[in-house]
Amino acid sequence: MSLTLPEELTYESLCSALANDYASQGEIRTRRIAEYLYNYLCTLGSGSRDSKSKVRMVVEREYTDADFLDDFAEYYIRCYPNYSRRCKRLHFFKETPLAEDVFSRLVRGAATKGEEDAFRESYLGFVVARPLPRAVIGRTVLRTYESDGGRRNYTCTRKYPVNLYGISLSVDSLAFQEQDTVLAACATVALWSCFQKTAKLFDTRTPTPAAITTVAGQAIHLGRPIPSHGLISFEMCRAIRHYELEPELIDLRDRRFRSVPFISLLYGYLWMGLPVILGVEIEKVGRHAIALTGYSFSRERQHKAETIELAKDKSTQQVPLAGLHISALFGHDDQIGPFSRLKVISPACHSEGESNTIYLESTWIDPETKRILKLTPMQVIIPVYHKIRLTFVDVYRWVTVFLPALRYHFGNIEALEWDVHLTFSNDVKGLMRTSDLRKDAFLESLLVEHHPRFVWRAILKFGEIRLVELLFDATGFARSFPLYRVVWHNEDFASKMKWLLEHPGLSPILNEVESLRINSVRFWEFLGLSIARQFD
Amino acid sequence: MDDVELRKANLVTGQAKVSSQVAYRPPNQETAEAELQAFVLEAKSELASLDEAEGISQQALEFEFNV
Repeated sequence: MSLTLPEELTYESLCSALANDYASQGEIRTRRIAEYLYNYLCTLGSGSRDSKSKVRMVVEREYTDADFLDDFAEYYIRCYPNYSRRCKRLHFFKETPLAEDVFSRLVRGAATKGEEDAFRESYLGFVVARPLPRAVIGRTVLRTYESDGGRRNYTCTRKYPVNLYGISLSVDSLAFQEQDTVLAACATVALWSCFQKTAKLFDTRTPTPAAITTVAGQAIHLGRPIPSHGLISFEMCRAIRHYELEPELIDLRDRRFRSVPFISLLYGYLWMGLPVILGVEIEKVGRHAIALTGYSFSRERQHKAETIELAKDKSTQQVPLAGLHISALFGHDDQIGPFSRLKVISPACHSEGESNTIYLESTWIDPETKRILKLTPMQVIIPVYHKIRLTFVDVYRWVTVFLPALRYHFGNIEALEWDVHLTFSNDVKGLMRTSDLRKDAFLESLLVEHHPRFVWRAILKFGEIRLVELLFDATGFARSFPLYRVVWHNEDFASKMKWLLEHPGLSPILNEVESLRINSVRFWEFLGLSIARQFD
Repeated sequence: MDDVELRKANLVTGQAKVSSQVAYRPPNQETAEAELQAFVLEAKSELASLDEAEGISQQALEFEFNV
């Protein structure tokens, strides 16, 4: 077989490469996903949305994709049309170092080390083109946009090794694919993308779409599982359990969850790189599952409120959370493309008389009016490791216990902010080493001591200044006392808390903070002891 | 520095500012107890609302994603 040389990426060359015997170039040209991929690649290549065509494409004409092979063996081989079991794989590179003669020398092993390094550096990822009539976009692994100074956070990525004609390449991404509505609908491919990342986080398996649909359909499916027209939440939870994870399901329509800060909840899991499945109702279209892969975090707050529904009778002032900084989420929407942007529109942005419910805007457009359609969040499903038992809501309850002390010290608590997120204790230790903490015996003891593997961190800040950090054992459970460490970042604040906790008249009042699940007495005692441990 | 490192670094930047920038409320010894009582009531109300945030209804499990 002769070597296919790199060609310039144009919309026509992309559509031509994606085409097959069952889907013509003209047909693919009209597909929204092809247009999205083209624009995405051009932006990746040039580093700007305005500047285009800085990308070169190499088409690997015969490629066996493990995920498609499984789908093929499960279904397509038994179809009347003679579908191929082989795919094409389209590789993309930034243009500059990929002159044709350089590429030939690279393949033959005659290139210089500098040329090989530049080649690897220029790699943008690949798209598998399936030989199918509709769902042409198979496993797609593309680099993310640059972080833009920390604003864009594509946290749910992992390293994918790639081999092109013997040349080892790699790309940091999260695999994406289009649903074929035979073996996979939106919910299946959202789960498939999530499992790609949870495999790296928790050493679990990476099933194929066909395997996920089969497992999900074993739970309770009144219709035929294949062809798949969708999954219900119960089936998605069943599939998550089958792959050694536990589903945390939050039904946002349920009035019981009206006080939960929705964006911070998503942020709490996405921070550690754990993908979250967001179920949305798309206006005039239906219910859709999107695998969230990251968020856009601005320095300034973007919202005034972030609960799913802004309560009209809300009088209590709660400490703001980090989620207020998130202007958009990034997600694998199998009908739009990888890392697509979902702009968060919060209730406070609405004009008088409009809906008071938070919603999202993506590139879903009404085909008749060209109006951007509203995506209303309905459900959140988080595939967590089975030993992670403490939820975001549990931790949020504990930090709410702190509220009266903060109100007492600060009055207006608008400048305060809780940053609540799940993480690994090893990451916590790494961050502590480079934090503002004094390099003293206290820090040493913190680093030397044994921590649980998974930790919920709740960091209280005043503007950019850290005041205190609460560490919760994420493997504990809500009605235990999961708080296991308190780190005071600000000695002045610690001394004010010490005064309050030791005040004979005020301290007993703090002990009155209680709820069905929380008795605060031990909480305040623990805070007092932690101050003594760190500073005395 | 890759994205993950940068994101983590962002969480620890800007921390070296002096504590005097933290604006505390001036204490009022005479009204302290009454005020704290009011703040405790607020927190209890918030916690009561959060206590409800648990459980899954049958309806939630039957939510179908089919676009």
